[in-house]
Amino acid sequence: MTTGSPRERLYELLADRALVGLGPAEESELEALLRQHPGADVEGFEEAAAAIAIASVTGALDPLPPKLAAKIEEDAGPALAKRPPKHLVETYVMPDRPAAPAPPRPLATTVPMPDAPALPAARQVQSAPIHVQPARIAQPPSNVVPLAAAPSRGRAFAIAGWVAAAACLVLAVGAFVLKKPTIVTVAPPATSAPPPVDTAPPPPAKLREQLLAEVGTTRVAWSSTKDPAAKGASGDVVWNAAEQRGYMLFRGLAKNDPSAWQYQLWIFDKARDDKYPVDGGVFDVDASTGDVVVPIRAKLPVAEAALFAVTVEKPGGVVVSKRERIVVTAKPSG
Amino acid sequence: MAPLLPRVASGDRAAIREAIARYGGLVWSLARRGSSGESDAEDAAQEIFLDVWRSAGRYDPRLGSEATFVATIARRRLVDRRRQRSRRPATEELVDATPAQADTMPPELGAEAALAARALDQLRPEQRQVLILTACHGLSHEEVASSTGMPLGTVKAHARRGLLRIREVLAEPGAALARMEEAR
Repeated sequence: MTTGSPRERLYELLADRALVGLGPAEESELEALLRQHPGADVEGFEEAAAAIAIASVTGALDPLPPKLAAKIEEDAGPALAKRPPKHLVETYVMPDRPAAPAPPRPLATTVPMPDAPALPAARQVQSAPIHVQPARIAQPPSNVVPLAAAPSRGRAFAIAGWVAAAACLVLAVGAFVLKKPTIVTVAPPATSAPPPVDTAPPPPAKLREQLLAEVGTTRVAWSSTKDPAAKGASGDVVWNAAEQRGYMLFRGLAKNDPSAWQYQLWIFDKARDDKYPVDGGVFDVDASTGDVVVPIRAKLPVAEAALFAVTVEKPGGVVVSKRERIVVTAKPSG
Repeated sequence: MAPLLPRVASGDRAAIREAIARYGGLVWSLARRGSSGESDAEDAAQEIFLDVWRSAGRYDPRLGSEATFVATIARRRLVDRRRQRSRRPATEELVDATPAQADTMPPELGAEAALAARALDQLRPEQRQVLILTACHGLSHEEVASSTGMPLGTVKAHARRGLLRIREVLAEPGAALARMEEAR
């Protein structure tokens, strides 16, 4: 996609390079544009992408296998010995990155920082030598099942499968009796210094009751499956399409260990492909007694909810569920 | 937290071990998410660290955090490797192949992650989703369009605008000050 102005195109290429990389023709185009815009913030996009990557692994870092750590340490000596002299590094041109002029960092000139040293003009990773080595052909381990070629990502995630799973349910308690809830706060996490009572945000249970009173809000009872986490679980989901807001109420859903697994909500939207339900957010249950109210955090707008389903996933949730453990489902009528 | 890379650049073996301990989890987590199998991820992690060692002399704490420096190198390497492959990574299968055992988040990563999380919170949900799918899970724009149902042009626009916004937030005085504190 080519946009109007050269600067917009420059930003487009820088964003693409940071996120998905560029082909040779686009690299040449970027080089030409950088010559026209010598002050462009070349590094900012890659640093932003790196920051997102760091945030994405927060709380779920996979420890480096000890054998691999030992190999990396072993390789460090020769790599450091082979480093080119510094004066040569300055002139090194990366094979697939334009040797762009290092721009001044806007912050250094626009924001006075009394107690901090001034930021030097050049960013640092841009001119770092990146030696592309031929990648070995990786053989996946026997316990790794390769994905099918895109776009058929992962397993088929059709609503029919979910409904079929729901059909196998041990049906939830027929009559969903709404008792006076004993509230257990689940999300958002409590702050360490709660504000005064008169300014505190209403708890999810109160917000749920308010939403229930609004026109256009639907309430559907959960049906629990045979999954151990759902044994004896009941509750409901309330959703208001106009406000794109909703809450889940659970009673008796098993407490989870967030470091081992978490619950994740999926919302099937009639306006979207059934294979890809909308991620409704990851949540924890910290009490197996009493009522738990969880706000729905849909990652995309939901035009018409056709089915709500809660799965058990790895910490942090997944992009596409394998639906190996479906805990509860709720299917709005109509 | 004292930076390690200047010591690494001088060939300090203890600093190399410390750097592997401090950033091993970050590099390995990113490599696993952006590779097509366990063996591929191991190759990627080794290449990333080789790049880090070779670039260590360029790291300047005044310019940014060491974690961002390492993550930028890691992402570059993973993007390059991905473009060299004809097939896309099998992220979910790989991640699920080994039981998750959360590593300790080093303080420096925690500070950087908090900054980025704050920046992500300021995005529209669609922008956030597109950026997470591309920057963290290694999906192409076309794959994001296919998996979310968004038109390709919309995906690209979300990616570009979202990344611009993240860049702006990370360049704000508060973020810069936090980095300075961290570098001391």
